[in-house]
Amino acid sequence: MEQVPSDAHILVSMTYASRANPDVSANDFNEILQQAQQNNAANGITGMLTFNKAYFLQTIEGPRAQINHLLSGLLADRRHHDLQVIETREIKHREWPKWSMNYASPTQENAAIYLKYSTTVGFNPYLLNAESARALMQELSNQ
Amino acid sequence: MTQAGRLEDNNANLQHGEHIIVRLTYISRYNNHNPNDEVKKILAQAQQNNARNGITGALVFNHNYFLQTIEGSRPAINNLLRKLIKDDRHFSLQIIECREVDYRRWTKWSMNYLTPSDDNKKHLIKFSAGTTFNPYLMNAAQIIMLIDTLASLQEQATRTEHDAPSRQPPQQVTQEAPQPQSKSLFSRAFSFMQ
Repeated sequence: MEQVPSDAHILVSMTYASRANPDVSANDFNEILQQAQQNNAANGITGMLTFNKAYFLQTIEGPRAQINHLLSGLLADRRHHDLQVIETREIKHREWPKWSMNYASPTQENAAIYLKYSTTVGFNPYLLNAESARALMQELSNQ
Repeated sequence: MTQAGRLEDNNANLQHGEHIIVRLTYISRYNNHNPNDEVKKILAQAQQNNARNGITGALVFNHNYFLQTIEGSRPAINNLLRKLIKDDRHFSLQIIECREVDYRRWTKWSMNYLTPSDDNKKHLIKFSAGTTFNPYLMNAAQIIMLIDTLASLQEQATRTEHDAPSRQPPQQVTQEAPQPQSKSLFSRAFSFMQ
């Protein structure tokens, strides 16, 4: 029987930035996304991921214990490094209840959304504060 | 050194977010029947490292749990977080909250060793739904308020100790019989950190 985490009553949202390792291929990005979608669906985790060749920005939401368990896995993942937690907070409801992992990548069409929250032309989540990261993810999701 | 490790070093000067102060609160578990000796050694070392990295904070611990708030630049806090998660002297680390702040709540280090005194029980029960203290059942507000409450009590106790003893009304000493016990534990832990 699966052990029920004692804090299953607490719903949290965690956002982090990380740098893609240089040898990560387009194929790897697909795999990352697929793995996330499968594992998250099984663990009651939903969220949103945006990335380019250099960076990841991800928000994950779910039970506190599961989110922290996933964080340990993410820290050990060799496909990215320098993970920085930008924000972790308790939430009343999920932002992405329908998505085990929604995602977006910079394109010509959504370039203005990235630029809206950025000082630089290229997407760099390390330059975003928590509020901008949150708003960017929401807006990318709504398009 | 692993590739990831090398990359991290190469990027040491390229990290961003140094201008952002974050406050991160976590809880973790450990097993030690005599925490007041071993843990203090570990914590003294940790505090030196933290001071060097511009990290301040508060810690509450008993024989089972750590409750800690750390404040500093976002990259410094995340570097420390990585070390804390890898540290096998404690386990089940859970981030309770991590948020940006305009200023620090903790400008110097605060540490509280929770003795099972009646006085402490009173504060634990205030923030607990059940009768046993288990921070894994508590939400962010409860955990943060508990750390805050105990730190304020410690500050008061330290101030009182620094005051001339004659300023203390004698009846107060007898009224607060459990106090000297917990006070001396607080101050022993505290003096070790200084």
